[in-house]
Amino acid sequence: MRAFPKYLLLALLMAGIACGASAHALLDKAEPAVGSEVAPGPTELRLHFTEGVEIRFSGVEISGADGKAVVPVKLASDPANPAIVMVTLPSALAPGGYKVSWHVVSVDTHKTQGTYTFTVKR
Amino acid sequence: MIRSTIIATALTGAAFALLHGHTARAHGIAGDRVFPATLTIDDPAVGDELSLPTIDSYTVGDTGTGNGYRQHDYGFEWDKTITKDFGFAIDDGYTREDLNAGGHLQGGQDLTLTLKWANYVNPEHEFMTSLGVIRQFGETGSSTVDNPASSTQPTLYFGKGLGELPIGYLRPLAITGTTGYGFQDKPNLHPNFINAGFSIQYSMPYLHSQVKDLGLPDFINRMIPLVEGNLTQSVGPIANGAQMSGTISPGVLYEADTWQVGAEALLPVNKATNQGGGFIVQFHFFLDDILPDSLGAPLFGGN
Repeated sequence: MRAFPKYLLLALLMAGIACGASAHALLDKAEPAVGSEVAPGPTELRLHFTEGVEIRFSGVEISGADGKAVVPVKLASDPANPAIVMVTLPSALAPGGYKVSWHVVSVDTHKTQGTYTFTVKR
Repeated sequence: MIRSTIIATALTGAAFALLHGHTARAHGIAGDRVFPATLTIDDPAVGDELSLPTIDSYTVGDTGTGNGYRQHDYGFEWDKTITKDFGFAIDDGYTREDLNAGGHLQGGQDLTLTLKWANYVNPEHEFMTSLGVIRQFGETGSSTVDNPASSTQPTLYFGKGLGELPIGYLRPLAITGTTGYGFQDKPNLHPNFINAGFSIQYSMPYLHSQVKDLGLPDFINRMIPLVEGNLTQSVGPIANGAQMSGTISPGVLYEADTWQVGAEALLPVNKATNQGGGFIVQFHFFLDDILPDSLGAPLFGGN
């Protein structure tokens, strides 16, 4: 019987602590969108994560249908939102299918990774 | 009174968490795959987590006569990492049995301690395994509502994401499972047993972030519909040919930033299970996200 007030206190504590917690950074949205077909000409990708990421310890690789890396990309955090990684390409992507492989370290040092594809239409 | 207190606990915790929930999920991670905590079986990962509360309710025995009763369980489990790949879990709880004949029984459950080692992770193939030992300490709960037997159960856990499938909409599927053999301290009084469990999951977060963004509401993108099964077979000379028993549990998980909530139906697999339908709900907190630098971090070696 006496255990239940402890449950209540612990539940409140945990829920309350969760207010200010950080978490694993997972991909929430991408531009171009995951699995999408887009018009020719994208020169930048934007990856929206669920938490701020440490850009120095994060990476993005874009490969074509043949599996070979397209080009070295340049990463930067959105100055207004550290959860957005801006991926700048040296030139517009040619039509075809592309695979994006990302790995990031969130601000609380948790590592996550993922992959997705999108297609540039002719 | 007890039920109202527990329900108030759950609702209060949920309300607080809902007010402050954002995004992101955790926790057993193998490459691109995140295996969530499941309700009726243990997941394949080692982590810093707290399940509080886990509430289930189901009928037991012959509900058409005075011999049956409705059982309500209120439990918790605390998972703690010692190193990044090795940890322990403590779970306990409280049981109330509302007798059809009138009146009720109630009391604490036996304490259970689990040691688990995440011995293998293959990120490329979204596959992971763990080895564990589950120790149930008999007679630590109430003799009126709990099993007095003590047992030790070596257990294998696994999780496999199906992200390699060629059909995109099947890639969010994953399976997890456990299998163990329970050695009773007094096998002449209580039969040893084999326990096996599985879950089949369809991860909307995986679909959303790895396969195709369908533009669905965020609420949907956080859900993981699943079916769990948990089966037990008594073995040995005193099992007397007992049939396998267990439950099948369809339901759904919802993954928020630092917590998860799940609800499943509890359906008996056969008459030998000696139980009717019921339900289980659970709130689950990711301590490695909530307290990454203290309680949520491994005791040794960091993240």
